Amino acid sequence: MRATDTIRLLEVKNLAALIFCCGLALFIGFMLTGQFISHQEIEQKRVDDLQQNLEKRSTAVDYFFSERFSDLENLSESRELNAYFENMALGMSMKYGLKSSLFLAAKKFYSLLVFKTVGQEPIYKRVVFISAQGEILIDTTQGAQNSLPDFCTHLTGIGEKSREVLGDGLDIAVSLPFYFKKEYTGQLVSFLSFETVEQHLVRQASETGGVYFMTPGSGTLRLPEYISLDLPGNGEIDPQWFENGEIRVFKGSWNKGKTTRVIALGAKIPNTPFSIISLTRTDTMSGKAIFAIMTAFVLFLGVGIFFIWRSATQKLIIGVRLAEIRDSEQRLREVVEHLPIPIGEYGLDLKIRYANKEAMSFFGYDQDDIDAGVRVLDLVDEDDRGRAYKQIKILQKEENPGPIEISARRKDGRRVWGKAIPRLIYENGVCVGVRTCFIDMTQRLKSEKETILAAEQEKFVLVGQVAGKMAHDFNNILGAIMGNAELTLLDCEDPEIRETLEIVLEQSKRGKILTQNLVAFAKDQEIKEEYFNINEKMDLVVNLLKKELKDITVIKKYEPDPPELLADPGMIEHALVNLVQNSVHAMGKTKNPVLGLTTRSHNNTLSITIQDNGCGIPEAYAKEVYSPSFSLKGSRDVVRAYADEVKGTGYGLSNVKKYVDKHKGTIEFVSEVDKGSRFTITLPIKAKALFPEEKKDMLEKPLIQGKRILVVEDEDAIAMVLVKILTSDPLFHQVEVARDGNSAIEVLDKEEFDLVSLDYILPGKINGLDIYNHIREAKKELPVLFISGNIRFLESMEALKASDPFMDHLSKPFENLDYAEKVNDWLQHH
Amino acid sequence: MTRYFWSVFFMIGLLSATAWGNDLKDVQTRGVLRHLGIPYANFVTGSGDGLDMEIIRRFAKSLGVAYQFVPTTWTDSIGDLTGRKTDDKTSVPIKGDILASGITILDWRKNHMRFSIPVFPSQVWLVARADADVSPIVPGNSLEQDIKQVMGLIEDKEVLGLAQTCLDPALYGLDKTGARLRYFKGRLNEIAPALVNNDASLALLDVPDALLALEKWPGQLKIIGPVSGPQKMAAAFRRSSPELTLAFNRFFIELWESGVYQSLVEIYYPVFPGYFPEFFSKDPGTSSGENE
Repeated sequence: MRATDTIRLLEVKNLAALIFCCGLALFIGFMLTGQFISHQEIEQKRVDDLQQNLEKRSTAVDYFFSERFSDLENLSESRELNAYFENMALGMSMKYGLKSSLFLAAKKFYSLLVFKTVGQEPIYKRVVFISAQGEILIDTTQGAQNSLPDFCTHLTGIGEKSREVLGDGLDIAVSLPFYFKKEYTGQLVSFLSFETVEQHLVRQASETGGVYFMTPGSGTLRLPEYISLDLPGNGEIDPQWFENGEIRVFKGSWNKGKTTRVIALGAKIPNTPFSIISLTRTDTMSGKAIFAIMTAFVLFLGVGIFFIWRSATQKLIIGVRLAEIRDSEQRLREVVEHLPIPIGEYGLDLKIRYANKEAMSFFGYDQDDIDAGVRVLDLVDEDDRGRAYKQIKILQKEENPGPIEISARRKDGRRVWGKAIPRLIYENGVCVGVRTCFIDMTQRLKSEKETILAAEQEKFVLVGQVAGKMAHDFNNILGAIMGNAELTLLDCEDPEIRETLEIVLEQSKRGKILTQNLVAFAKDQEIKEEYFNINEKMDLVVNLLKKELKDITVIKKYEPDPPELLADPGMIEHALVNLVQNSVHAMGKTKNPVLGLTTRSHNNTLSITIQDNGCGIPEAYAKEVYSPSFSLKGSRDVVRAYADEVKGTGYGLSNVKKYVDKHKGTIEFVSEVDKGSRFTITLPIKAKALFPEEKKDMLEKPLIQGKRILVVEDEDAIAMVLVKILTSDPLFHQVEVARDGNSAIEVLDKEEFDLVSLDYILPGKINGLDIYNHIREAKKELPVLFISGNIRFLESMEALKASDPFMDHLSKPFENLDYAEKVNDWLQHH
Repeated sequence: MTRYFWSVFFMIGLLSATAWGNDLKDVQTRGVLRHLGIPYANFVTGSGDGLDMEIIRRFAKSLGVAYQFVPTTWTDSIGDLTGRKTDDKTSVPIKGDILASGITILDWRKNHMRFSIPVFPSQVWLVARADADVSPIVPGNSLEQDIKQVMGLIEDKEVLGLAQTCLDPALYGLDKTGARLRYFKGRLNEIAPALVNNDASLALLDVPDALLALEKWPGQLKIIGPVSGPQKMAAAFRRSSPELTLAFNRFFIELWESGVYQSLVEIYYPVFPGYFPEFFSKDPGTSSGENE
């Protein structure tokens, strides 16, 4: 979500909150108005409630006293009290038995004091039995005999008394007449605390907010000090004011506070001389309570709205931020996914957990391979795995590990060189894996190698130019020497002179061969590639050296119908002649000399093997055999392994190595002294079109098809291959071919092209660079792909490439896939 | 004065103890105090409690031995304590160390047993059914007058008593009043029910039993008046148990002084402190049994 959307949403929400608050304010206003209007009704209702409450309390007190009468009735019916009177009736004396009965009856009286409670407080203070003669016979209060409160002294008089409740402001007496055998025998009287009754039955907390008092006896109520009322008369409340359900209103205050209206209500407690009076302040009856409730409600609502709004806003902000994070993550993911740099992650178990598209494409793996548990070491070349493993283990212990140079291997087996730049992945502060990007340095290393080689060759070229000039002059001198030596021999009959002349002639021939090899080595020959059959080339070499091979068994193991080799036939032939000659020389002293010639194609390569059972190469010289001017023949042949007449120039194998390197091939040998040597040349096979697997590779990338391309190439074989690559599946481009510079410029002036594939060396006066300059005069952005087999131009190509973003360079010989990809990349990005 | 009295009392006891054997040590060695008791009134209720059981159980605890109740009968009780029957003097197995079950201190019993200091007051009253044609006396100025009044009421009346107990009419000279004496065949605590069941009109009952009967059957019985002077009850021991007796006396005084005794009386005989205030207001042992 964008920020503007967020702000808009917040504004909408704030508006909604404002509308809601306005609605709430209206609602509160409505409520307050309603409260004001209904105040009187509410007050009346509360007065009604107070009256009901008063009546309830009055009834409760009445019921309470009826229970007290019940207690006394149970006492009057008790076995203990009646036994006393039974025994007395039987004539028993106090001294002999009657005292015991009286004791048991008194014990029963005590039980009332112990077991009857209200609110955990004893109800009774004292229980007495007053005989009909007015004598206190049983009294639970020791030493209080004949001493009763003033309000009930009449109970001690002779004669029958009524059932009644009496009291003053201190005590309440409940009196019940006792009859034994239907004859009035005395009065049971229980005493209660006035305060206890009032506290537990009258002054209970009231939901109506009023205070309640019980009047003492039939007298008036003296108010407690904290209540101040403007009362008439003696300042006491007379219960008679409320006899007919009247309501009195006074002015008064609580605790000397604000003066307010006080409503007084009263109710008589049935069957007692007491009344209950209720006093209620009108300011607590409704308004304040409702206002407080309203305030609390509004506050609650306000706080609730605030928190809901805040919560919603925060959720929105969090949502926006999450969306931003998601966008950012998506953006990064897409960047990483489409970055033309292989990036991947692997865990501590070295299993690859993630690889971007480029990584999968580059190394030739897919998601299924990763899911199947491809390990990072599977991407490393077998020879480099031990070192890579150590490096990975070390980097996991470092905070900022540096780049690691590794030799990697793709799934199809092709080797690539590069630099892995690792970053450790942490979870909760613990390293859980490594994220790394791989910088492909294959091309760069190749270029560097080529640069070094070019520098080396530059040196040799210089030497060669000098040597060539010298060789030319030296050949003339040798020619003169050899000619004169032969002429002299014709006429010379002196054996000693003849011998001397023959030596001169022989050494002159050696000198000629030496100068030829020197010229060949020094000369920077550009490859003139063409397709030929290697088997035929081998047979040609055998035929050339037929004379030298006449005593040697030649065993040929050619691959039937080998793929045609695109190479310089002269160079290959020269190399093969050198190798076969070396073998012949090595077998000079071998009894049964055997020369083995083998050709074999494998994995887009062609191997040529020349094997002999000659004297072999001592291991000490194994590293020097390709060095210029190094030879095992002649002065280094201390063991006389070669025939005496065999003399080496020292440039044979170094020339072979140079030819092989020019073709991006390899040469290696195995040799054992006195057993023989085996030299193997491996050369890449350049097909005339893309191989199926190469087409598959191409199809995995975005393909640009159907473009117009000009191929400027003077060599037919190469031109044919390039045309085939570009016009066939999967590229299907339209291709024009120009064989020389003039034709190229003519075509370029007439037609439009999307790309020019340009050979650097062309026949005639116009070379590739001239055509390039011509193109740039009119078309600054037309992609030009230089093709050059001469590494002398590499440096100038690099310089040109740095200044022109629409130019690139490919060195001969190149693989068809490299050419196709290069063309496709250029068409795609330009 | 009290301290002086108790010093003399314990000196006498100590000398007696030295003269007689190791009865207390025997009990402690055995580890059990055997309490001989007869279910009677609230002294031994028959339900595992009673005033005397509470006292003796505490006594055993003070000695550091286990308490064991051994039930007996009024007839066998002395033999079970002393090992010799009271009638034919034959030897019987000793079953207990202490006899306490509302035992009234009587002279003839003193010949067989050693009594502790008094632990409870008593008296023997003449009790009648409510409908009996004998009215309760109007108490006179003295106990003797009251007894005389009672004796004068029972001429030619049948009076129920129990031989060899405190309720033996002969002990109080009823046999000389012209009353027809009848000895109850049952147990002591069955006399009151016998009256209620109209088996007799008049009977002798000691005060603890009489007051319980009045409480149990209100309006069915009436107290006519006393036939004896004040009596005391005490715990009884073998005469050869001076140390145990002395230990009990010492324990009982402590029990009294600690107020525990009064609490026990309040439970089992709440009326008595009001009835016999002179007993409960004095120091324990001031009217002793054995030492009188």
